[in-house]
Amino acid sequence: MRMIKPNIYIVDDDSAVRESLSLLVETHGFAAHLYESGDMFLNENLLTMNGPVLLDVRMPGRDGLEILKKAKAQNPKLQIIMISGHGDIPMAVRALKNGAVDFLEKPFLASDLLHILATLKDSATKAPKLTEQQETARAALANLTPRETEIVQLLVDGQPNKIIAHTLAISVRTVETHRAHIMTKLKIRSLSEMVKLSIYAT
Amino acid sequence: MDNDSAHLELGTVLNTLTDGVIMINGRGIIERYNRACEMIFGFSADEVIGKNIDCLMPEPYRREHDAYLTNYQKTGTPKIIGIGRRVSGKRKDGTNFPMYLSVGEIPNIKDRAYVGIIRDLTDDAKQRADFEQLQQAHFHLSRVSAMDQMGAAIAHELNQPLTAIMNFLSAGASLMNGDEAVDKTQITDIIEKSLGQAERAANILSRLRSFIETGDVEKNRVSVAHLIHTSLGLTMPQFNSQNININYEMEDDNLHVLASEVQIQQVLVNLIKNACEAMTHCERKELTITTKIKEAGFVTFGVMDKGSGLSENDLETLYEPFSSDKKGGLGVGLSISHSIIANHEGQLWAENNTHHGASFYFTLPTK
Repeated sequence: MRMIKPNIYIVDDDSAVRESLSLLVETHGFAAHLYESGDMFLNENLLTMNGPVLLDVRMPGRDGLEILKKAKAQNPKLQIIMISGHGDIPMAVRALKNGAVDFLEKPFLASDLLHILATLKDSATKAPKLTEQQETARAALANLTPRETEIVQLLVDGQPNKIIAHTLAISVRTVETHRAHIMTKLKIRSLSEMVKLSIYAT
Repeated sequence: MDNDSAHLELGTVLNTLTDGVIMINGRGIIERYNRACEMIFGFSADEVIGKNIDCLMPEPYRREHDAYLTNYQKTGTPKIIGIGRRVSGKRKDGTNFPMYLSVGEIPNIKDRAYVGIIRDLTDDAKQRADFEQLQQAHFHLSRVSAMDQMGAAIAHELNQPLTAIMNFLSAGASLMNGDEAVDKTQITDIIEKSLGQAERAANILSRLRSFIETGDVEKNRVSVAHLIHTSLGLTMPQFNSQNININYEMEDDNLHVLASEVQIQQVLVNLIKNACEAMTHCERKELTITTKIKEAGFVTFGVMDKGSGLSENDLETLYEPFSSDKKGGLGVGLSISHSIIANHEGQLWAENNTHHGASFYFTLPTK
């Protein structure tokens, strides 16, 4: 018996990105549905959708954040993963606050995307464990020193090292050292993971 | 009618006008300032009468206005009188706004006097767009600021093919490793598509290169003072609210270099902007610009700030594109500046200065 493939919805204006993403998820057993604009996606019946949505932030016309808000208003259960350009931390924060389940920075590793999809599938079958996620995040952040916590806050606000150094009256090199320690302590590799963690904790 | 009541009557008439009216004497001192001006600039008449008109102007007009006046009085060649122009005004709260200024000269007065009629163009969206366009054209700003916009656009554009390549190749790898028989044509298709995307990325980069290399590469004898002056004029308006002090230390006002004016403006604008941005959070903001003849045949330009300086890591990766840690910036500016100066047979380098800030220097040949 052939299993029914789980659905995944891809919204991106770039045809190469769209095609390559669909090929990637299809080789991992998903059925991909493609939309070349946010409006085309919103024209679908969102209530019948039963799978995660990969939504590009930067598109001509209405941008991803606006589409995210509209889609969540129509179907609050929709799991939307935002895909943003590199280093757009303030945008990532806004997306998570507006109900995105996760976000990825372009270009991303296939394993990162697959990891997120696997986590979503788990949480869907095991019922959402939002509080658990919150507790894990809080516990991890509680391990940081007060200075490290300050730095995390500034990083999540999108401040560059130089400004953080100035704000805290320390050298840029000290900020860099703190940053490395924080990454190790939190067992994360990227700034975007730090953003996620700090949003989950609140 | 005696003189006093004529004076009073003129004031009453001026106050009924909806356009701003200012009268100044030959030294630029404000003598009359009607009610409409109070609305436009936010200063009351009492606050500005007796002051120099330059207090209502942003840089670079502010610095230059006295020179405009003396020039006109010396040469008699009008730059604005009887013509009317769109210019920038500065309000009491420090903001700049577009305005239309027509200036007339009152004849037969011993101490020359001028009347300016001002229309605030802020609310007129179309006029504002025109104003900005005009200003941009006037200052060749488009090319200079394009460097920044270009950087952001390039990062976004490059991300697309890179994302596609990574997805295609990951999919290919998982097909090769999967349980099902490998479909050769499908793999070939994936590889070809990845190649297509790699080519797309290469094209984006070559567009960047041609952007840097094309344009005004003709080198002329340019005044050093003019280069610095125009570059400050291009950069400083956006930092108006920050109260940055500018010091010049010029060895000789009459230095000239052999350079492409637009390209060196790009470099200076980039360095000045970096310096100003580095001082965003400083209490005392001081920008110092120096010019010196260090070795025969070369002028050394210096741009120094009192920001937080450069880390060792910064110093190592300074000219590598995309190495910036600035929010919104991509760090193509310094890398482009570096190649521009190299094309001029000069050198560009950076060091930390004794004021905890960074100093950038570059050299240009005088001939």
